[in-house]
Amino acid sequence: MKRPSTLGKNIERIDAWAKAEGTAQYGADIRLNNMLFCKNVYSERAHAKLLAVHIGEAEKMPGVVKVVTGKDIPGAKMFGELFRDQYALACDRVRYFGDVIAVVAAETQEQANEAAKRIYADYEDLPVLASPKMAMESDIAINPEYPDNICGEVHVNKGDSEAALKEAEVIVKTNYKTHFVEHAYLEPESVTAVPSPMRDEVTVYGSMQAPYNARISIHRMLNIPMSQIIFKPSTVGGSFGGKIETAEANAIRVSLIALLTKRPAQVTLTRDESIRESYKRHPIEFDIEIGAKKDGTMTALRMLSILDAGAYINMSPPVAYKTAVLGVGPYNVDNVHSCSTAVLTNNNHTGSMRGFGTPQSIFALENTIDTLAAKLGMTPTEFRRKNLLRNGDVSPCGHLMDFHEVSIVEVMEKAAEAIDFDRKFKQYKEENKDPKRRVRRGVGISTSMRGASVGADGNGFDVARVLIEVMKDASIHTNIGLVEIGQGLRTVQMMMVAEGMGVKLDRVTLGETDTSRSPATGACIASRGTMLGGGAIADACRSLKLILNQGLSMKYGDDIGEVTYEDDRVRFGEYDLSFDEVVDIAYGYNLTPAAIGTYAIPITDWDEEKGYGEPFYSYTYSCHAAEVEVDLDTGAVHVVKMAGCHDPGRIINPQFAEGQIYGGLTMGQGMALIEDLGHSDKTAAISNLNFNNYLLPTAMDVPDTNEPILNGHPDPRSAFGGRSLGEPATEPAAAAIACAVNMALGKPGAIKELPFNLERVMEIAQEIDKQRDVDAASAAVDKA
Amino acid sequence: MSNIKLSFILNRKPYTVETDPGKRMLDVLREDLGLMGTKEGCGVGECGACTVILNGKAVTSCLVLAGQMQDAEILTIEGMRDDEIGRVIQECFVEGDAVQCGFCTPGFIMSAYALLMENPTPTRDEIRHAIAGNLCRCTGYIPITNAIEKAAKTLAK
Amino acid sequence: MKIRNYIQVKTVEAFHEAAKAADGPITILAGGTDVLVNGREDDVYKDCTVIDIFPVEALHGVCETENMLLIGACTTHEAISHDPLVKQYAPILAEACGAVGSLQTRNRATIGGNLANASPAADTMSALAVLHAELVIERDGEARVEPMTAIFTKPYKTNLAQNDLITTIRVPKQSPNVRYDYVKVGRRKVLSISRMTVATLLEMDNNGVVTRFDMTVGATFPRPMLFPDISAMLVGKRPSEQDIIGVAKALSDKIPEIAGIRKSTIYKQPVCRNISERSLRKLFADILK
Ligand SMILES: Cc1cc2nc3c(=O)[nH]c(=O)nc-3n(C[C@@H](O)[C@@H](O)[C@H](O)COP(=O)(O)OP(=O)(O)OC[C@H]3O[C@@H](n4cnc5c(N)ncnc54)[C@H](O)[C@@H]3O)c2cc1C
Ligand code: FES
Ligand code: FES
Repeated sequence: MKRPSTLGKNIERIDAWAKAEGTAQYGADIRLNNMLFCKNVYSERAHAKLLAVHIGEAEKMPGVVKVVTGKDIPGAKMFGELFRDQYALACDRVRYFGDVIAVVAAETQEQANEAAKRIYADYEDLPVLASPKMAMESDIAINPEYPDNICGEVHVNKGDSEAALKEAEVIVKTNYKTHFVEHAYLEPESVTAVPSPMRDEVTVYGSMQAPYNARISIHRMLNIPMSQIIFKPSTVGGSFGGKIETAEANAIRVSLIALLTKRPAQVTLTRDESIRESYKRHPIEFDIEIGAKKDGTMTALRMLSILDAGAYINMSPPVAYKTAVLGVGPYNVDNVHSCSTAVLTNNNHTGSMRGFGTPQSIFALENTIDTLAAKLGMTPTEFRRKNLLRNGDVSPCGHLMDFHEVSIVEVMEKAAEAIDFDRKFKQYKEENKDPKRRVRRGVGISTSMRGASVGADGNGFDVARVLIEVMKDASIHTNIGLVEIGQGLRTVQMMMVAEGMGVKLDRVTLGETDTSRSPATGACIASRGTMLGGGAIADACRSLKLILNQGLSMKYGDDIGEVTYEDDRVRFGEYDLSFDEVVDIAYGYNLTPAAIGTYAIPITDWDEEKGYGEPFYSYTYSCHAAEVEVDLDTGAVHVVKMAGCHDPGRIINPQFAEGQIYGGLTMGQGMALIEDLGHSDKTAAISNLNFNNYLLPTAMDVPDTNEPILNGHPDPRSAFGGRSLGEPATEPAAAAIACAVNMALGKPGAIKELPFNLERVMEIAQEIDKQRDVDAASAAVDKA
Repeated sequence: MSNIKLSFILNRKPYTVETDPGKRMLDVLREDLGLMGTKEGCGVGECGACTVILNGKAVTSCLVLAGQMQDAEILTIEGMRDDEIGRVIQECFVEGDAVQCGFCTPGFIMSAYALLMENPTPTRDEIRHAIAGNLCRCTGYIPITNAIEKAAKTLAK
Repeated sequence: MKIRNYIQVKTVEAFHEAAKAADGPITILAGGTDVLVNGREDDVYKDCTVIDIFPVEALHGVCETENMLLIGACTTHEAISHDPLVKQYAPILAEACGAVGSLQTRNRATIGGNLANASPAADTMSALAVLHAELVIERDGEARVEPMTAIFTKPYKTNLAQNDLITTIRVPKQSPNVRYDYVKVGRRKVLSISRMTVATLLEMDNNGVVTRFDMTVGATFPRPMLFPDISAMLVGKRPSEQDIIGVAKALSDKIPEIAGIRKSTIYKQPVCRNISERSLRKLFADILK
């Protein structure tokens, strides 16, 4: 195989300097002549009929230019990526506290804020369904199309789990629960819409992760041709899956205002508004049962999960898909039943967030596995070593794993070794028996296999496109619509173009994402950026080389034979030309070296009815290991070290890959221990609306010793060998910490609900103390 | 309230602006002066994205009143480019991949700058303390700590 | 933030003049870390004349008399936590101030503002309580001295008039023999509002007999409190393991007694007991041996 030229090297991010100098333009940094500033007015009810919105007083306030409500939307009233069930501006109903009932546009932000305070509405209250349980029991439908409030159901069936559980020699049956988690991108949403003076056209800037989808919504709702809706996402200040629907809703509103007023309009959410309106990670309740033989062979797995979809369907069905098919883990188990049900409620809707339904299921699964291992007298690594998938095994969903290196065992060993898991597990287990020890130590480990790209529930829809043009100066200009959200994607795209064309990296230029220049390419979601973007780039490069070859044939004759593009040189027969010469030749014959590349993930053999087959085209393997200290006096958990080992296929840029892992570990730590929106399962309100009570890990909370480990095996199923890492980097982290805390407490699987905050840990600590006192008393009696 | 005249030194140059003293310093920088490098992530002092240096100390500019800029010496991210120490910090951030989405970056660079002005040879723990008031959701902090450590070493040479 | 008027003063006298001259309500502004957060959304300061006292040099810094440390009300938490006099004569306060927020916050937030804001979770309160600190308060040029604990009425409320200016926090100098411990329990390592603080200060004679003992819990009661009955449990004694367990229990039993039984009591009462025991064991380590 030829040596890759740029791939595998630490190439500096193309946008790092602008960001470090503070000149990179984020949504809220845009200032335009004559621009209006907007303010959203949010619903005061979680569930109600919206009878009237009173805007008269606001319209008279100084500086106010326009107030819009649902009535002003000329076209379809609802949008949604997969299901169109969400109002951008509520019309007859509000379904959660983040619904927007009106938007004020004024000359200054202060004026808009002032006027917004004067808008009020008449509501007719409806019962608030603040949990899936309430919603399933209620005869009130949040969305009339889903009378039982169930908006998605996915199952997996392999073998006969019921029979296998009956036969199992050892069984653990338990349940777990997870909470709402905020993406907490540091940049709150900001969107600016600029109308064209020439025609019905808007150009939208701002924090947008999925511009092509938003274009469709604006087209449908504002009745303008798709070609006249142009999205140019600004630098995005973090997303993690979070800058899709909320940003889109805001884009629709400001575009409406821009078109009505013929003036640019901008909305920038405050952090409180962002948390109030934006969708979250799904809270999920799990019932889980695992059976094994006495020798530790895992024989059966049943996992039932109920996801809180919140007020809108959003991404719930595909999230449920991943919870069901990936939640069963990378284990070799013959009998599996997994069923995920998504339920509409009046909570914040829930959607894409890094991990997409799996950090929750991994938490439930891995804690159950630890419980089972303890029952079997095995250590966590012994059990996993015995049961993890190997080359040629059939995955829990029925996928025959014979198409790439199934490296999960190796990945686990490396993560375990990085924290010296086996030794510490023994040592801590022993030392924690000392009843006088108040600070206990523990280690935990968790594994995952993550489908790269959308998966079989999107069979046939998962496509990426790119437009590449070789310029007359032999630079290679690339237009691709997969948005940079901080992960380094654009730099990686450039590296792949250089690789694909066999030229040096500095020939490659990249246009800012612009939907009017780059062909539609779907969103930068679902771990698809590298693999799909790479596929499209490879395709375009192939076409470009054919065009350039055509020029060579015209000049040197038809029989030039095979042409290779490598090391910035073009070689055929005895010729060895520079890339510039070849480009000159092509232009000399009036050829057009421009090409659109397309890549669609092949359709996989997944039987949705049965719930069996190939749920994804390929997978990334991951393992996180954590060491913690738990203070029995306060319930405080101190994370000592985390290690994350991943096999994301070929490592295209090691430094970026490590950056993803560092960040992913930290996000998992927050989810495991401190992040909490303060959601009320009575009122559906969330109380922690800013970073003073929605707590993220700080530099002092994150261990300085965290260790990313790359264990890449290039994937034959991916154009450049790379799969995905962004999501896997956080998937198993919360579970690893949870397992470690439970181990420290001497009770595998004990804490059932995330986050493991002071109170929940303290509850178990007190049980331990009570037991200690009982033991001491009985010891005293024995003595007497 | 009505505007007053505020004079201060910003990035080593004298400025006078007429503005509402009840505004936040963050808004004076961004709106009155168009210096967009200082970011707003929370508005309540918790994220550090708005960090600037006020009379030699790192502060969150969302919690300083415009009036309090009177006669002050202020440094923002825009002043780092032409500052020897600032430039080195920026270089180390870029090289060390301490920048992902970048929204937190100006704040971190200002905190790093304040630290290195006061303590040119910080330990890793001192660095972590100094940046604990800056949240980053992307990097997991270690690349940032590495970058600041490297900047200190580079500057010591 | 909407305000009626903004006045910056450079001397205490100028403050009094400005306060007198202002018509309508006034708000004192020091570091602003509470004021700007409160004033963010609602128009709480809309009708207020804001008098900025941060530039008053006389209110910054720490000096000493024979028995007292005099801490200017505008001294920041960061300055106090590194102040050599405070570290020498009242190290527990240096620790408490160092535990506040982040560096950026500590660089602005003042000790006077921390007290006047009267948040029950304010980190300096438990430390100042066990130090028996006093406040010098000036109104219209007239100064009075009050025990620190006396100004608080309920959460976020003091009995200070709007033109009452805390000028100085007076802290009795502690001898080198004084032992102390300050524990903060928060949800994360830094930048976290306390779930609880436990502050302890004590002195013993050469025989290990306790001559002075103060211990209190912060972020738990409506206002900072001292407990003579708790102090009496150890004073005059050479403490045993049993005494320590007794004190910790008595102190934690104050929680339901004073704050009532709330959801948080389930957590706070046992934690208070545990960390009190831990603190006392540490402080009496040599005696208990
Ligand atoms: C991000 C963040 C984190 C924080 N973390 C903590 C923490 O961990 N622990 C903690 O205890 N606190 C914490 N706080 C709050 C703390 O910063 C404030 O309580 C601070 O000490 C108040 O001082 P200031 O100078 O900023 O007060 P200001 O906001 O200026 O004023 C506060 C109040 O006191 C009044 N006032 C101020 N000075 C005087 C005076 N001399 N005489 C009379 N009245 C006066 C003002 O009128 C106002 O009502 C945090 C705040 C923030 C923003
Ligand atoms: S915006 Fe100032 S600290 Fe977050
Ligand atoms: S780089 Fe994104 S928040 Fe720090």
